[in-house]
Amino acid sequence: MKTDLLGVINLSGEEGFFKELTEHRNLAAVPFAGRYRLIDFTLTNMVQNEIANIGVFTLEKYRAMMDHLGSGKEWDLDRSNGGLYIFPPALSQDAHEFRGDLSNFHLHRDFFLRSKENYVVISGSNILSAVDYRDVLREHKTSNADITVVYTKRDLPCNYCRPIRFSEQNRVTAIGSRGYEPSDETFYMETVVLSKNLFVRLVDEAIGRGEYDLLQSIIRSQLNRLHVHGYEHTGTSQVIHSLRSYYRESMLLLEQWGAINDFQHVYTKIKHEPPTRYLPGSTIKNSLVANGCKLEGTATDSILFRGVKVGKHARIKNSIIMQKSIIEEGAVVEYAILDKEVTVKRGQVIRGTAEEPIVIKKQTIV
Amino acid sequence: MAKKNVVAMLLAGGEGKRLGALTKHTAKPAVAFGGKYRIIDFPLSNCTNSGIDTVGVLTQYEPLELNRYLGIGSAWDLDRRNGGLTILPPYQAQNGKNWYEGTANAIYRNMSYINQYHPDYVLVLSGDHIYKMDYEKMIEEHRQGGADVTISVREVPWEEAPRFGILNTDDDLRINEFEEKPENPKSNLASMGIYVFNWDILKRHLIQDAGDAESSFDFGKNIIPNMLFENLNIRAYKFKGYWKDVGTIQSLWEANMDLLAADPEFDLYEPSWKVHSVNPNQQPQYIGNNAEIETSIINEGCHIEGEINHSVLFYGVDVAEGSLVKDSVIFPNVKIGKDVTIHRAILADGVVVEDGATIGTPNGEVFVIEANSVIKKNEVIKEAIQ
Repeated sequence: MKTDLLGVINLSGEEGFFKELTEHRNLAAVPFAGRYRLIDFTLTNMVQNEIANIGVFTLEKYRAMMDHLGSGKEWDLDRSNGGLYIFPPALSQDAHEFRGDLSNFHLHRDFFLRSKENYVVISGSNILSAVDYRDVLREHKTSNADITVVYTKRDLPCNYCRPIRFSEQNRVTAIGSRGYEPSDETFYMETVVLSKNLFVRLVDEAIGRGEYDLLQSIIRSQLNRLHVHGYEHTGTSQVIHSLRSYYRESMLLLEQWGAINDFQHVYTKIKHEPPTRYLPGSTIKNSLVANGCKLEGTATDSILFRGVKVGKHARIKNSIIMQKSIIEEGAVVEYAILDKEVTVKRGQVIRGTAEEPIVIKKQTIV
Repeated sequence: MAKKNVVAMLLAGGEGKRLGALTKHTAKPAVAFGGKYRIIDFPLSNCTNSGIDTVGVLTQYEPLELNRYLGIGSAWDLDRRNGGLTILPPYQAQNGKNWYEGTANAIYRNMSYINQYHPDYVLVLSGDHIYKMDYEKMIEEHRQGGADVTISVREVPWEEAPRFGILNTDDDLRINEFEEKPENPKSNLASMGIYVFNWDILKRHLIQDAGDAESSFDFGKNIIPNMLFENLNIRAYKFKGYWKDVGTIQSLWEANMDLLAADPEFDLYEPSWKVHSVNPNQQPQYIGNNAEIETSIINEGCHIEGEINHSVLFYGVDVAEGSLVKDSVIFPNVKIGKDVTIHRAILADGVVVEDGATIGTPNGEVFVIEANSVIKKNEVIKEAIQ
């Protein structure tokens, strides 16, 4: 049964992170785990929660993401009723210039007014988790909250995450700033559920006051006026906000593969790549390999995206090699992230460190 | 409906008896091939890559799996508003007839499907072979030569010619005789079962054939000989390239092994001729610390901890530590436990092999383990289970 939630993936506010891989694309379109892009995880999770009407609010560098999402077919979102909507900023001569995510929501408020759903779930694209949105909605209703925010407990430090504080019965009293690094903390997962009517009203009011920030104007400034409830997500989550966290979370996939990761049901764009060919001389250990690769060399503790070629005697270690990159004969790649369509010529050496993996930009020839 | 220059009719109702356990519950065109595909993906992808967007798929034998696989044709870009893929199962007609009684009868019964598009040409294909072919080139040659019918042929070794339907031609490739499995062949041009017909001529012959009580309603046996008798311009189109009939367990296995050659004659990796298939949406394959893989093709969703040598693995296959898979073809979602040895076998979908089992021998005859069967702990299977 369809869930009474309108899905909103809010990409505004994510632009600042992670420049190395976001020169040509937004964060949502950053390739991850061999064949996905970050947005696949939130989008799939919404679809699996039977949310059938989803708007992606985006700001800039969205060509790669638009190409990836297409009509939403791979997520079963090519519908005549509802489905997938992509909302770039609606710029016009008399429109006020973009000042924050609320102005994008405000400009596209018809999307909210026309939908049949009574509740809205808003999430970013860079925290990968399987939050049970239906359960959040259920708890939102039973706790009689005006707004419910999702939080989780994390052992790993996270300088991106915002700490969250509660009073009795999980009533939220404060959401802190980023750049704070406590251990064993509770973090806001940039996910919020509230009724659609309240959301539209709060957006209109904020815009009327000249405020444009979702977190500040819709949540923080309402903490005293409204009942803001905290919902705990007890499952895992991967937070990707910087090159370091991207690399670390990628390497963690290899450590834990089969134990906690199950991407079996994550939908992504289909490429019709043939299966991967292992030729004589290939040695692959502890690695994730996507389809369409041709392997003649060695790869250990690495992630190979679709259509990667590894030549004879080439050696790859602790690296992430994105789509259609070519590592020629005898080349060495260690502690590196190669963006799409990079060629490493015969015998060349690329070597970073575990702390500072080296990044080679898209379509570079080394 | 808008006119279409070409309508393709794909005969996919074959039982494929000689594939034994593999076609017990599924039609031959739905049999798996090459780590990712099913046989029908090849003619369908050929249509897409040749720019043919109207394809009727004629089904009859065990169609459930095939129907589910084909869906509305999205995987081959054949979900079209005008044309696209249409599944054409047999239906009850006013004269009480139900089943398709032969290849020609199957097309005859769907003349109204073809008529909707007012095509100039009808391309008749079968869902039994592994090959890549640009049908557009064949149709172009048909058009330029002013032919009524064009039959695709390939040269086979002379000594093998008696096993095939052989077409005898003049120097200009005009066909003057068709001989089914001739003892003393006059030519080595074997029919590939791929025909281009001018629709008006085919239509007339289908109607004529349907009224013939003696006919077995077959293209090779009836339609083509009748057309030759009428002295129509029937031409041979020479096809060069990989073409494999995968009608037996042995030939299906061989065709899979052909893909593993250092420089395979049949290249699945040609970017300009992608073979489309229904995507099972699997995670990337994970290759563990103890895995050893050589000369193999492995698809997504596999988790490999053992040794894979000269084999083809479909999606979602698990191979645990200490196991060896050699010279074998492992269909989707097969689970192989620890310390298992597999030689020269085809394991059909969903087979479970428990720890320590042995299947096949290094030089024995290739055989099939039926879908969803469970091979018990330490069990030894050296030949096909009858």
